[in-house]
Amino acid sequence: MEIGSDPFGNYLCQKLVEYCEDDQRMMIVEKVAPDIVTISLNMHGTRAIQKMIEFLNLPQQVSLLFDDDVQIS
Amino acid sequence: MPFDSQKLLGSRLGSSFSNPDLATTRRLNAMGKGYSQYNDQVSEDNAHAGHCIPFQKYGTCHRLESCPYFHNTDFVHAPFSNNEVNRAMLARNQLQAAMLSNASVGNLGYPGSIAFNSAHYQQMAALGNLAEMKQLAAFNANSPSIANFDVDTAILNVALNQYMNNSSATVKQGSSSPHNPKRANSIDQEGNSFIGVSFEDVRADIYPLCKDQHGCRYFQRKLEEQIPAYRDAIFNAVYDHFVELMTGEPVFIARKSYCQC
Repeated sequence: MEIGSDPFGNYLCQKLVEYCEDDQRMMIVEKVAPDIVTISLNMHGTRAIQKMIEFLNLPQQVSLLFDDDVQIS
Repeated sequence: MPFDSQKLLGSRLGSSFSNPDLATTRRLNAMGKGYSQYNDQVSEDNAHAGHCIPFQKYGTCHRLESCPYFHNTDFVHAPFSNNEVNRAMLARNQLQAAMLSNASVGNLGYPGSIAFNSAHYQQMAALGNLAEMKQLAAFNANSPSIANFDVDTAILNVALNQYMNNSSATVKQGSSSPHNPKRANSIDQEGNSFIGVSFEDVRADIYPLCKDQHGCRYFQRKLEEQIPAYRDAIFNAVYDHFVELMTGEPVFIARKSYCQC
């Protein structure tokens, strides 16, 4: 079990989302989609999610990320 | 041991070069032109003196085999393209000399016997702890059973990279925007600890290093280089823990709180 939080990992996640290939970004979105609400409520996670939303480039990524959990008004 | 490295370090100069400023100037000039030319010239100057001056140790002298001093001929043919390389080479030579000097003095102030291996050195290289590495190298030089080659190479690489980094950082600092100087070189200057670490050395430990401030910055820099092999390696190592890295908390806590919502 790990104790304490890691404030640096989210920067790497942001960079990774920025520089990775489309299929890799798709994998990341699939990984993150189930937990997007929780991550967005996290102090560090919300920045990473914001960055990820900036770099979404496929419609299916958007639908995967938002259709299940969040009602877009 | 005929190789007196104290002289090489410039702290004690030969009798014909008692003025240190003059000696330094001549040495720096010589580095720009290449060692061999300088050595020929100095050999003529000191033909009557009958001894080598320290700088001749970087090349062949007119006495060749009969010369009692150690000559490091590696640098004679080295191309000197610009000032940075020259300074880095100088640092490298001085470090080598310091290591030899320590070795000849013996194991001073290093108690106990510690098992040395390349992992130790890599670890220290990662931390950039040059002073400690030199000390250990001095100790290591006394035990012939341990191969010194990798160790020396690692230490010299760290020294070289630190030197290069210092000089380039100064240049960047001078040219950065006055309005936002901190942001201009935040990653370059703060992430110094991993300067000189090759990606192959840390490939096995990508995920643990992501939790470290400097390790994290190191991988960010590697991503910015946009080399597909590095990017894929980092991606594969990080992918399984992506949510955890994003939030900075263990993933099961994140999932638990998600269930409670």
